[in-house]
Amino acid sequence: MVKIIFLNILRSKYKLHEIDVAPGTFKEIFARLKKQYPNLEEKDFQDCVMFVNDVRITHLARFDMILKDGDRVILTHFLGGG
Amino acid sequence: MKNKIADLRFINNSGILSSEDQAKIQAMRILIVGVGGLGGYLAHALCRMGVHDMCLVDKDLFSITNLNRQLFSTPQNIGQPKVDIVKRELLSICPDLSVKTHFSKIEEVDESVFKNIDIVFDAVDNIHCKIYIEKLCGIHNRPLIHGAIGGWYGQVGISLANSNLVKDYYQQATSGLEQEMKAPTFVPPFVAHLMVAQFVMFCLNKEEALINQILNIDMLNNDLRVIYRK
Repeated sequence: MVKIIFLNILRSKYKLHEIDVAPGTFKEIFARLKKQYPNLEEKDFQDCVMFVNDVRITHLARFDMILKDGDRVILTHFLGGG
Repeated sequence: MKNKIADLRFINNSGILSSEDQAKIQAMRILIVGVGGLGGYLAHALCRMGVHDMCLVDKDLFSITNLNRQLFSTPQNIGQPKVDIVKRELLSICPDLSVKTHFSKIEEVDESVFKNIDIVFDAVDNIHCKIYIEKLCGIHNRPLIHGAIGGWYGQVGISLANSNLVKDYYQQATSGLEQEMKAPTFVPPFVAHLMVAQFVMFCLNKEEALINQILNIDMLNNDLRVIYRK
């Protein structure tokens, strides 16, 4: 299974913390999640930052990335204030 | 009286710091870039921790919009340089503190300032400048305690020289949640004090120190976890 961890504003907005999902591309996984949680807005997941096993995945590459069994995915947003 | 203060001043640190630990912290020479939300609390806490030598850099004047969160902002000092006010307040706490100030952007400060600095704190309010400070730390081989905030959220980490932790974390990003979610009263002090805790851990070579890692702080969901490491 792939562990998807929602942080910060995504966690607050959707009340989702950690979900285990079957492997696949992020696009496929998001489509499955969307069926389960119809209120998920794709724009939020386009704008957010994604880390897979501590490696940052760029915005453009994210939806085609294949997530494998055992991967740990963090979805969050940048902070830049001080 | 002065000797009595010297003897007793750090007695309440002694539960976690030996006298040798306290001496290590007191010997550290600190550069804080940005003395607004995070930086004001950093300067205050480091002063009370016993740091003797600080250099403060900030180009801004206190403004009305700082009053919700910036420790040393008051209606009386609006319009005055932050570095001047912070210096004055630190000296009222610790009269023998050595504190230098630069009322300017970090980009305009002579890099020779790094020669007399041991550790740098990133308390600026934009990603571009955070990456620039880390670059300077790399050039001058100094560790960086990084912090950032936005809305309910924050992050801290320690970037060792040339790790490019901050640069590689942000990559091409230019702004974050702070643009919409701003900076509520209680987030800067919490994140700043986590940065000070990291400073202490780093000085004492604690294995728990977040070396080349980013810890995410989600105050709304009561969640702290490392989200990125190099």
